[in-house]
Amino acid sequence: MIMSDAYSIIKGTNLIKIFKTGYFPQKQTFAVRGVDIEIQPGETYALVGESGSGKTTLGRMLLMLISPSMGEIIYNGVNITNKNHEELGFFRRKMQIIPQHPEDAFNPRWKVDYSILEPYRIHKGMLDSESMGKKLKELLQQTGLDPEYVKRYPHQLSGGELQRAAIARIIALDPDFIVCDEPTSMLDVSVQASIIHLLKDIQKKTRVAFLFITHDICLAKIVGDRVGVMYKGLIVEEGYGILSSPSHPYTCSLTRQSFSDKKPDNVPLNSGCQWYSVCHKADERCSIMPQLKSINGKKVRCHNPE
Amino acid sequence: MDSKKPIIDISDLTVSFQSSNIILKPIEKISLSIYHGETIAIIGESGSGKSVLGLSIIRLLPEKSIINGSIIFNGKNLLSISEKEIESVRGGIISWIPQNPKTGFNYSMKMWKQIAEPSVIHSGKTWSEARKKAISQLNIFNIIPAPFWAEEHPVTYSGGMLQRAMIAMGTAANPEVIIIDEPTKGVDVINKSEIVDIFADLKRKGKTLILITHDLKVAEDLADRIVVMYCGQIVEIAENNQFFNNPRHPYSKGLIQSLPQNGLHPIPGSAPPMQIRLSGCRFGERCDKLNEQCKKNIPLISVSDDYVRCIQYN
Repeated sequence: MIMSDAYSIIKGTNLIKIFKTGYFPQKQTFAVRGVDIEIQPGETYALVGESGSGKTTLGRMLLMLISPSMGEIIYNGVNITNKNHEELGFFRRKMQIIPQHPEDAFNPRWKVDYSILEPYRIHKGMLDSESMGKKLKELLQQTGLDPEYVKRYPHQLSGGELQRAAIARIIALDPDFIVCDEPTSMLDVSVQASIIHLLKDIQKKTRVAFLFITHDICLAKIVGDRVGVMYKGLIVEEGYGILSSPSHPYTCSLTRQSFSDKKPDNVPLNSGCQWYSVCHKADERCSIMPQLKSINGKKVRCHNPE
Repeated sequence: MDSKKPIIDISDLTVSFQSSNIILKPIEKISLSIYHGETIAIIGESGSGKSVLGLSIIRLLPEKSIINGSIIFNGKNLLSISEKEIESVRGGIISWIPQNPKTGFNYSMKMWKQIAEPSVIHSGKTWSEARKKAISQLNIFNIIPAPFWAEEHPVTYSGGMLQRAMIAMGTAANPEVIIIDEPTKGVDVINKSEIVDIFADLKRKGKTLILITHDLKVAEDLADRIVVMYCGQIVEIAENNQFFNNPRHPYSKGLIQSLPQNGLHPIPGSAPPMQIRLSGCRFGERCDKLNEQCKKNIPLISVSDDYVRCIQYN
C-alpha cells in the first residue's frame, strides 16, 4: 500500500548506510542497504530481525541521529536529510527515541525529575519555569510514576520505573514519531506488559506513530499494526499480519523458530539473495537479488515465496 | 530424573544484608531439593532473590552477608565447610555461568587461557593439555575455526560468541551442577535457540542445571520443574506442564497472562522494595482474591508433587 506524503508522518526512501572503519585498508560495513519505509500517524510499525540486521541503524537514521550515506528522509512532507544542526532542532522535538537500556539514558548525577524536565531546558520558550512543576506532575500521572520516586537518583529506581521515566521525558515535547528501540528486552514479562500498555495508551491519546524495534516475534505480532522483517540490511517482507502467515522463507524460519544448523554463508552483497545458502526453496534465479514485490497486499523480497 | 535423590538440598536458607540502620533480607526461608540430572528454572522478577539464591549455593555472596540455614551437597553443608573445600567445589563440581558475558571475561587474557583455567585448577591438567581441551571446547560450542579464536582476546568476539565461550568456560572442568544466571537476557531469537540447544545437550548428558531466568519461553523449553520466587520467597514449585497450563499461585497466573501470546495483561501494581516486607501474603496487595485469611503468614502448601504458597490455589 503506497500512501502519498501527506499521510505519512515519516518516510525514508532508498536509505543506505555504509560504516567505514580503519584507514588502510578501509573496511566498509553495509548496515542498511536500500530501505523504503513509511509510517502513518497513529500507526505502530514493528521492525523485527536478528542482531546486526540493521534495525537500530535504520531507526536512528529516520531520526537523523546518524545521517544516511544515501537516500532521503521526509518528516511530515519536509525533506530533513540535508538540514544542519540548528535547523534540525525543531524536528528533534517532534521525533524521539526510547532507549533499550534506560539506565544508560539518564545522567547518574541528576535526580530523575531534573532529567525528565531537561527537554524544556533545551527547547527554551516552550514552558516557563513556574509551570514546570505542574507539567511534571502531569507527566508522572500519565506514565504512572510515583512522585516520590523521581526525587531519587537513577540507580535507586528499578528498570521498569526508569523506563517509565524515560517515556515521561519523551512525551514531554508532544512528539509525532517515536522510535522504540527494544524498550522492553531488558525487563520482566509483567513489567513489559505494563510498559506496552502505557505506550499504547499514549498512542491512543496523541496519535503518535511508533517504529517498534524488537526481536521478540510474539511481541511484534501483538504490538505492530504493520510489520517489517529485516535481514542483512534489507527489508525482506513487509505488510499486515505477515508473522501469522509469512511468505519469505526467512520470515518462516523466524516465526517457527527453526533454524538449520548450517550458518548462512557470507554472500558478497551484490550476488543475489542473502538467505540463498540455507534456503530450501533456492534455485538458479536466487543468484540475482529479488526486488520487493507486492503479493496479496504485502511486499516480499523473494523469487519463490511460500 | 533417574533416582529421586536430591543432589542439592537447601533448607531454611535465609540471607540478610546489614546496612547501617536496616537489615535487608533478599531471600527468606528457602527450602528446595534439586534432584540429580534434573533441570529447574528459577523465575521471578528483578529483585525477587533469584541470583542471591544461586550465589549462595556456591558461596559467592559478599563476606558481610549473614547466611542461615543449610545447603547440603553430597552429604556436606556447603555453608559450613572450609574455604579450601568450597574452592574445590566452586567451578569444579558446581559451576556458575554469570549473567553478563561482556563483563565475565578478563579482557587482557587470551580466550583459550580463560577456558583452560578451570581444568588446570580443578582437574590437575597441565597447561598444554588444558589448551587442547579448551580448543575442543570452543569447537563443541561452535566457535570455529577454534584454533584461531583460541588465540584471540574477548574484545574480538561478538555477543553471541561470548555467551557461548562463557558456557565453554563454565563447563570446562566437567562439573556436575551448572548454575546459569540469565543466559538469554537481550539475546536475539537465533542466538537464543542456539543457547537453548546447548543447554538441552548438557541436560542429555545428565548434568543438573539450575537456570535462573525471567524468560518464560526458555524455562518452558528446558526445565523439568519451575520454581517461582516473589519478594524473597518461593511461591510455587511446579512441574513444567502444570505450571504453563494450569499455574496455581495468582502471581504465576499473572506471569503467564502477561506474555505477549496470552494478551499482554500486566499484573497490577509493582513488587514492593526489599526494605518493605508485608506480613501475611506478600503478593496480597496485587492479588484480586485478597481476603482476611491472607493476612496470616502462609506456608508452602504441598499439592501432589508440587508446592504453592497460597490458601486459595484452586
